[in-house]
Amino acid sequence: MECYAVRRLLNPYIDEELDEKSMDDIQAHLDSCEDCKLEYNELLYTKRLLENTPPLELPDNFGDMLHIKLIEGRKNNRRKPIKRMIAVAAFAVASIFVLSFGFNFLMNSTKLSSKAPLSAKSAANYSSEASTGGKEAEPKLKNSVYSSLNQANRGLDSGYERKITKDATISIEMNSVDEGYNKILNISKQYNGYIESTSENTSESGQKTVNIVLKIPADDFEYAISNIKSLGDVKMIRINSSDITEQYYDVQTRIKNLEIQEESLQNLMKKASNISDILQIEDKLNDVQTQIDSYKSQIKLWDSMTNMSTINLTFLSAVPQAGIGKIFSENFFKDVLNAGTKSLNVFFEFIKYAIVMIIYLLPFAILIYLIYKGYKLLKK
Amino acid sequence: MDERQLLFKAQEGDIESFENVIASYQNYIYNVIYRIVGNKEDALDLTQETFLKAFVNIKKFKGKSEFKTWLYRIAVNTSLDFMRKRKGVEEQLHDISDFKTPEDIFDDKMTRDIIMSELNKLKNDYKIAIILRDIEGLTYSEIAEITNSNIGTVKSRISRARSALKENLKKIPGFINIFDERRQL
Ligand SMILES: [Zn+2]
Repeated sequence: MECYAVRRLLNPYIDEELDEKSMDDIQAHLDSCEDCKLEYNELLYTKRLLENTPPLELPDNFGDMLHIKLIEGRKNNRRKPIKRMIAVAAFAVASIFVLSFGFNFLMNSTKLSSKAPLSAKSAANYSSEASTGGKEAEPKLKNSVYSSLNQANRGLDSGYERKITKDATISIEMNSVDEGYNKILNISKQYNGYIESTSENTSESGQKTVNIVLKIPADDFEYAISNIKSLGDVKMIRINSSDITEQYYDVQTRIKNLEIQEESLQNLMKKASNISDILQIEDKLNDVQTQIDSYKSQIKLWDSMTNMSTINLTFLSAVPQAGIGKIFSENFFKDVLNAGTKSLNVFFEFIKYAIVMIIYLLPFAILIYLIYKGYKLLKK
Repeated sequence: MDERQLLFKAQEGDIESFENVIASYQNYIYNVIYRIVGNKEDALDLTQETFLKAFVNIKKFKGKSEFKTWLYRIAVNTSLDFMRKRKGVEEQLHDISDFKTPEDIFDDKMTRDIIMSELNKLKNDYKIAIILRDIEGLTYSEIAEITNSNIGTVKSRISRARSALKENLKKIPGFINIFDERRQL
């Protein structure tokens, strides 16, 4: 074997990464060639120098430090896909809601009929009014997404108390508003509730309105409602109940995890010796404690919401016989309204077609979006 | 419980199992990173980052390679990212000019410092290959897997790295003496 060929293979020879024959050939050459032997020895010595560099040891608190990061990492990691799902689902429901609301509105304003049932109702929630506000759609959805995702993890045991918030809004017309108010005082006493606030005003036409916010223990909510309904002519009633069980226990789990973190940080703090470590841990500790506080106040709020339900009452005194001026102004208003509706009809006709088009295209859009997501996921 | 079972539990999100698996690797990973980036503080941060990444992405570990190799790979990539960001921001702190006088006695610590500083003069790819081979004792094929390259590339990188290192060490005044002395032993 020639020297130049040997030199090229000296390093893999040292590493024993050559086939047997090359190893033998080079060994034979080294035995007979001083120059190559010198080069070999120098390279081997360089390798030994590297091999003998003493290893560093990780500091003792490395495990603790890492542990905290891992807990955080897991938390963030788990939440991300859920967040994404919620976002997608919320978007889907929001668009359906907007569409159905728009459609509903369209029906209402063109046909002037006011009772068209909403299709979007979730199992855990019910609302008994024709058109509830749009704000409610999203939290309801989050709720159900959370529950389907979390139920598997948590395992609902028998001691699992459901957390449900209830509220009602009721308008009642009656002959004597003051008498109604007294009856509410009695109801509140009867069910161990209390009156949170009241306000009263009288319109120019002499109609008296009283607004009362009544708090009733959640267990007696339904009884109180039926009592109140009998007080007069019910003009409007809306009852909402939300099941916040999943969010409630989710936040409680978070508090527990944070408290574990807090404890291990406090232990770390005791061990920490240099200022920069201490400051870092202190920062982290502050973060954790702030989070715990805010979650705890959320729990407190939910506790009070689930213990006591809220009933927003409006009492209206029966309208006194209207005078001529009143009738004129009412007709005038109706005329204006009719003219407006007519011109709006053309506009809504246009909107209707736009909405129909969007509904028609929506499934395709979702499909394309999902394919795109799936493709991106595969590419990863 | 063996590593495979622990890894399975770790993939389910069990932190303790993960910690058990990495216990035997964490010093290796720390050392590799330290050799690559050249200082302990950064190495410590990057070691944490490496294990955090490993934990967060543990579902992507399919068991095709060894877990250790997989960890090395994350460590090397994390260090490289860091070096790219740092590049140009700061110069290497240790310079051999401090060791010029022939009278200098090269104790173990100095020898170590010189080697570190010479390693740092190599191009990243060369440096990583030689660190993984000579300090970590990995095989060419393991190194190829970790650095995502083929064996031929690894072979030539190690060859050049070690030869360059040898030449540079010979140039250090005084150092060559112990080099010669020890060589003869
Ligand atoms: Zn020769």
